[in-house]
Amino acid sequence: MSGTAIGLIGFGCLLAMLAIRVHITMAMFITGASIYLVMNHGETSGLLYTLNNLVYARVSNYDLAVIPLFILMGQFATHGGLSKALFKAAGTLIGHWRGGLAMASTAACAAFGAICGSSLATAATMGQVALPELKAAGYSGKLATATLAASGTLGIMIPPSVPLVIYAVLTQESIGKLFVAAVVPGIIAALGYILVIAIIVRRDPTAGPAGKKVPFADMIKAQINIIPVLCVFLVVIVGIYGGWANPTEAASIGAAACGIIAAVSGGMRTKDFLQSVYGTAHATGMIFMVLIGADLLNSSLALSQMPTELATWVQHSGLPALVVLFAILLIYILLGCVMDSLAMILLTIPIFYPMVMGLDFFGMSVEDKSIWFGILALMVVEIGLVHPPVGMNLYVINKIAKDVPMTETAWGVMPFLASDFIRIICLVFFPVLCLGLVHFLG
Amino acid sequence: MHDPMGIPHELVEHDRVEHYLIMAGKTMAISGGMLFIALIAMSLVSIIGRKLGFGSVNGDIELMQAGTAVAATAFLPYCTLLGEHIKVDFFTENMRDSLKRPIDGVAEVLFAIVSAILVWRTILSAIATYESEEVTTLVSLPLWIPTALLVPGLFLMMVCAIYRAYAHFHPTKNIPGAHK
Repeated sequence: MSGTAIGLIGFGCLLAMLAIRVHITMAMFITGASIYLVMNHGETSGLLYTLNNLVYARVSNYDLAVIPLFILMGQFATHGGLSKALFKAAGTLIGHWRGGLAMASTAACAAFGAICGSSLATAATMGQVALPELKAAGYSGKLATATLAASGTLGIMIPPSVPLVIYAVLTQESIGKLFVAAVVPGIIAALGYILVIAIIVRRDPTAGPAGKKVPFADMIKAQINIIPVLCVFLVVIVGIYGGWANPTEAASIGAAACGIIAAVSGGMRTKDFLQSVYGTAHATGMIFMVLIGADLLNSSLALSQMPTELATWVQHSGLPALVVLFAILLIYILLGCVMDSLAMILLTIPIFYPMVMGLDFFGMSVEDKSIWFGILALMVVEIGLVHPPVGMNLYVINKIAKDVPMTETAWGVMPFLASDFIRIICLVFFPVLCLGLVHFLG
Repeated sequence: MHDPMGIPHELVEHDRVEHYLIMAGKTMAISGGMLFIALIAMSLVSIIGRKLGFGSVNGDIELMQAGTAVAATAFLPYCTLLGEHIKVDFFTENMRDSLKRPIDGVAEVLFAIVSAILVWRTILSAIATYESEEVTTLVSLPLWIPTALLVPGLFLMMVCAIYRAYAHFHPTKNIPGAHK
């Protein structure tokens, strides 16, 4: 049996295990180990030798150290009440517009996303702050919950972003360049959501009534309160891209700065601090465990040579590059119906990445293509968080706003999803949207 | 989702093992968190030192690598005990709890077996690096030390998985992390 056949059968078994509720990391581990054994004709020594150093080699990776640091930074921001300051700043600025408070929620999510690398955390944190205010201001439940569920995805789309770090580690791409490449698409995403809200309230003015204008002095005061948060973002991104700190150091600065801001101005106490540590333990433990399983799976797939053979096959199949790309994006959207975004990236990038790299897109260089595909993959796996049936953000928001039925929220996010699709198509045909800033700064 | 079937909340059994495991998991998570904070402090000293011309902390990258490895594995038991590891819910969403519980129990058994394998191989790896006297490049930190320090986290993770498997097969037992 060829390596590719073994790899494909292994992949089938993996999906079957996932369907019967085996943990994703364990399914990857067991599949990886089995492929190893089959490829080595039942000889166990190769596998056992790989296992010896599996854990240490994976968890001591310097680039991956940014993940717990960014998670800790986001946890401090969450438990230190920074979300309130951000929402207030945006609310006093544009809250008196029609639909303004919903737009302010989107803007606050974008700003929170700039210091937090997780969409669920962004949706949950901003949801707790913004949903009661939106309700009090007379916004329709459907618009309020849909806005928060969709805008929560800005948590990952705007750097720092955990899936991008994982993409970078898997493909040996520069974390800094990927972060910079994600900035413009992330801002376009936020503007797209704001535009959607504007259209919705224009068609149905009762969905988002205009609020009272806040006195100018109060507005300025609210803006001053968020300056430290913006500084943290700038230090992290400029630090990484300007080359005076590597991503891990920049994440350390960010975590320390967020911790200090949370303690000084956000009122973080020992209890909140411990909650931040436990939250970091949950997320880090989960991610590192998946990484350990994925590591074994990926090295066994490399041994089977399935990814390279599939890539060669696609390259010689004569299929137009864009058809292959759209097929991959479609697979992501379908997988997003059943799977978490992190698991999707880990499972598919080792297979899809060589395929995309082997094809020609608008004559792009290899380096550009690798960054561009990373951003596209990020955008498209994020959609999985908001579309039914298992859009996690929908569940998170549903838990906070219990009075709004889930189906209403699910219908409410449809216009936002439409803006997602339009943005992704624009990114496919205009790679300059993500590469422009990278080239400009590089 | 994991509620013991049809049993009033106050009759769900919480045993002492669960209590001790939660304590142990929290303690390890906090020590991991403290280690991370120490690493953050080291990074800051390193950057500031470099900017002011004193040079960065010698071997900062090696220490960050070894420290992250130890701290991240210290996070594993608490995460495992509360069932935070991701799985695919989609295909079994409407399954009866009485069926879902034993299926999840089997998954926990697999988790425990794989954890046991990881503990075993990591111990062997620590012994091998001890015997070969491997050290890091700049500060000559013996590599067996961080490798051996992974073992407590991995071992406790295995114990937590065994406890979860046990709880899943006992319909009246509480499953840690099920009531969030």
